[in-house]
Amino acid sequence: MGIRNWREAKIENLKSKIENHEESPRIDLQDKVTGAAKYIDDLPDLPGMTYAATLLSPYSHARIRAIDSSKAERLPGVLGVVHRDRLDGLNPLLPAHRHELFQLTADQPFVATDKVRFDGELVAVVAAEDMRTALRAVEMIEVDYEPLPPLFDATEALAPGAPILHESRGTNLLLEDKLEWGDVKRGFKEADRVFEEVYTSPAMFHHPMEPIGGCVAQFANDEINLWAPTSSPFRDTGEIAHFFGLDPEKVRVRVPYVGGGFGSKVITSAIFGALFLSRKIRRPVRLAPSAQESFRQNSRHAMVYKAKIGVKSDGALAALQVDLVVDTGAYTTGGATVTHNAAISAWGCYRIPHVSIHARCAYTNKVPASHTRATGKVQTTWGIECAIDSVARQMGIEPLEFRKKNALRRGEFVAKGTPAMDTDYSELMAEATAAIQWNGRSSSSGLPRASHFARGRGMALSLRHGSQGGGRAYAMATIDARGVVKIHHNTPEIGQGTHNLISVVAAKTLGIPQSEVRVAQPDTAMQLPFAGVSAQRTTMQMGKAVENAGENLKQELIRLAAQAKGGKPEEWQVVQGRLCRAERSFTFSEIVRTLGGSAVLKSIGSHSPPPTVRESAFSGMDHWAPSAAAAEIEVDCETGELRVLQFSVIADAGKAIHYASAKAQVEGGVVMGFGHALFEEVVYQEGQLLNGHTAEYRLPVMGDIPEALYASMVENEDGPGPFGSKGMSQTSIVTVAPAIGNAIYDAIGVRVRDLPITAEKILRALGKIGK
Amino acid sequence: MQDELDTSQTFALSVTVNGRPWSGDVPVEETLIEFLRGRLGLTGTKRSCEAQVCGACTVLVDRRPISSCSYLTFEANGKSVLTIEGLAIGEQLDPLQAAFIRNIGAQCGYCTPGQIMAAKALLLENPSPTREQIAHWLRGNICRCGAYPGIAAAILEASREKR
Repeated sequence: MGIRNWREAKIENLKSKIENHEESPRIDLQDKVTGAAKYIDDLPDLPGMTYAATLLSPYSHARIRAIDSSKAERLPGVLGVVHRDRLDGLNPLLPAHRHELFQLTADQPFVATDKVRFDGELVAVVAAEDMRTALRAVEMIEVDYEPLPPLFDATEALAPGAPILHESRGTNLLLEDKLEWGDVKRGFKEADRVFEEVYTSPAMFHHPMEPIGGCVAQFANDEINLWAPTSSPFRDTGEIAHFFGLDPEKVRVRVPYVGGGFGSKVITSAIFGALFLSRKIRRPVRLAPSAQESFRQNSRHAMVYKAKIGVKSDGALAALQVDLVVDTGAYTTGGATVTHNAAISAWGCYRIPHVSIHARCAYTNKVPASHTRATGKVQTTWGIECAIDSVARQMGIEPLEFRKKNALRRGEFVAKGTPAMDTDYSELMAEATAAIQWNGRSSSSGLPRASHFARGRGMALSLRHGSQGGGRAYAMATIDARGVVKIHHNTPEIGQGTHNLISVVAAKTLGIPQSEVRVAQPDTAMQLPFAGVSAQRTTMQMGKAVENAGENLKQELIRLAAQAKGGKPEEWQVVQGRLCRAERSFTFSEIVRTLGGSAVLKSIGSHSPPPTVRESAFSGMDHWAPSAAAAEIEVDCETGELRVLQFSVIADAGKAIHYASAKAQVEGGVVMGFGHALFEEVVYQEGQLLNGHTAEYRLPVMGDIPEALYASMVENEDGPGPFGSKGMSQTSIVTVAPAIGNAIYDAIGVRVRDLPITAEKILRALGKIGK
Repeated sequence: MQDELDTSQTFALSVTVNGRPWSGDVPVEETLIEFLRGRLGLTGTKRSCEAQVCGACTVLVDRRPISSCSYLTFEANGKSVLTIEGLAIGEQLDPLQAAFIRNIGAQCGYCTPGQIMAAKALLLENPSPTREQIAHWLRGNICRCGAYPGIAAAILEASREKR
């Protein structure tokens, strides 16, 4: 069968796969296509609602000499102001971020005190009778700043003599992480050739379409009621309680639909300000931030990936040494997780006997950086996958063959304490290359070309580690006398289809149609811990907790059936959504009704991930999340313009719980990957963030994405999640930049090593414009 | 300077929204998104960039797509406004809405009302667009979740259904 026919057959197969999955429609989409879905801005006002606006620093680094808010406070309609001189004795320092492997100290006040350390740092919050008044009041606050020299480069920040951003620390180094196995010195001695490669990734912004930091905050009678778009409501309750000195049970967080997050949706400084003001003025406070404010809440870590790679003459990798410099911005935020994730992913997916990875994370005057879709891994995969391609070509080996030879095979262990490799990369690569009608061989670059258009193809592999740590996850299932099952949990619906996933798992476990399952919105009053929708955790941990809650609900139903209809519990079983004993069978509803029309049965389900221990960098993981991708591109060598003609990615999902949703996640990762590969960079110059608005920051649009985008999944039902699933939502995004970068080399014989890959950089690499 | 802005000026507006007439006084500086969300409670139209760039607030005014964040309410006087809430007829979804569900043309859903309204305007003007025409028409509707393949498929499917 020719490759084209093979691809057509695959696409046919994919279509029938979707049809054969006989899936119900994703449960949240009816609300989303009719405008009925409620996001934070759409929740109705509480009685007595007030509206808050924020004053942000225009400087990236400055000392605050004085703040005068007296004019603002005299403006009619202004109800309260908070800044460093209006704290009523509250310690403004936000709780230290928690990480299972690092001891972190608190370094960020919710409002600036002595200094501002980034463009956009919160200086004051004003609550007023209406938003217009709040915005006017903010403009009336006078702040006397003494500008200080800003630092926008983490390597410079670590150099001797650099200005220190947090004086009490005495250094801009936040933390270091190391990962080692074998003896890297010996490895390089044994190597026949040694290569050095450097790749960089800039700061980028998550840019969820719903701005970051909206809320409705009510703090009365020592109790907090907060509605906010956040990815981890249960964790947030602990932090908020700690900050205000409350019992965690006195903090209730509810989460409506969330308009995208990608790691950015957290409890912001301004939300702490809104809570403070709500207590002070004894009225609820609403925040509705603008796109500019949203841009200054969060970002992705810029990173420098520097690798030294030793290879034997037969093409076997012998040693790898990586130095990473991670730029966390002005405060710790996600520094620990990102640095750790970068360190433990910097080796790619290869069998390398001697490895030494050293990561340093530094403060700069950028917007603090946090978790971002495939945290830390987007940057390291850009590094290792370009480096592997480059080394293969310098060795005169086809990159595909080089990867086949060196990629870990199923059952192999990378190092002590890791799960065994649980995928077949050669199969993923075969499918990814075939999907773009490519035999996997390099073009003969460097040959004279008939036109100034050059085409090339490249590939990349990805090995996202599966969900890691996070503690126990809980879900609760109830069933009422109508037989309606409701699942309670603290899993926000942030776009991936988490509530649909919960619904599918509950329905399948109980053997009932999805239409009989309701999924609640997160509400921490239910006291159901969950670390939140991040780190590919939801399918694995919440999925298992819901499955367990469903199993326990069956047992509860069986106990009640035996009590009401006779026999021993062990004589009863649940078959296709009915309770059966011998030849008698009852619906769930019939059994619950025996307790009366208002009866409800309940069960709790839980799941515990493997423990995270300091001794093992990979602890807490229970599977890998691999994928392979291939790209075909065309470069206009006169203008440097790049077009991606085809892109394919094959992810190992174990089992897609809802195939169409999972496929959309794989595709969505690719689309965001296009932005990160080709356009996106938060630019700092002359002390300021230059492009902090949607209008100034280029995001991917439909026309950027080739029609020939082929996203598919391997389903061997070999994962540890429900029905053999694996976490898979972050594995595609990381492949995009290196697959495109390698395709560019294939086309024109030069490499762009600094993201994003712009026309200017391509022309520079071609030597058509100066450095 | 906002201090000088005369906020007392109002405009006597008559407008049709989702087929229903509405008359009353509105401040001259009120944007259409404020009017729809604040006065009529039609919160399906979403606020995002507030600069006519992202397309989340797209609604139709006399069958043409506009960014309601940058359109003053009084400009709609005597015109007909269609929002996401006005697309379905009772329980009967518009073919576009149904196709968006089938093709996962929405993920977080925040840009979705704008995507669907922009697509509606396209199909009113061009009932059988190519994928390229769809991509060109929707270049001002950003989906950060990256549901573009699903959105494109949904619009193509809905256009075929209508024919």
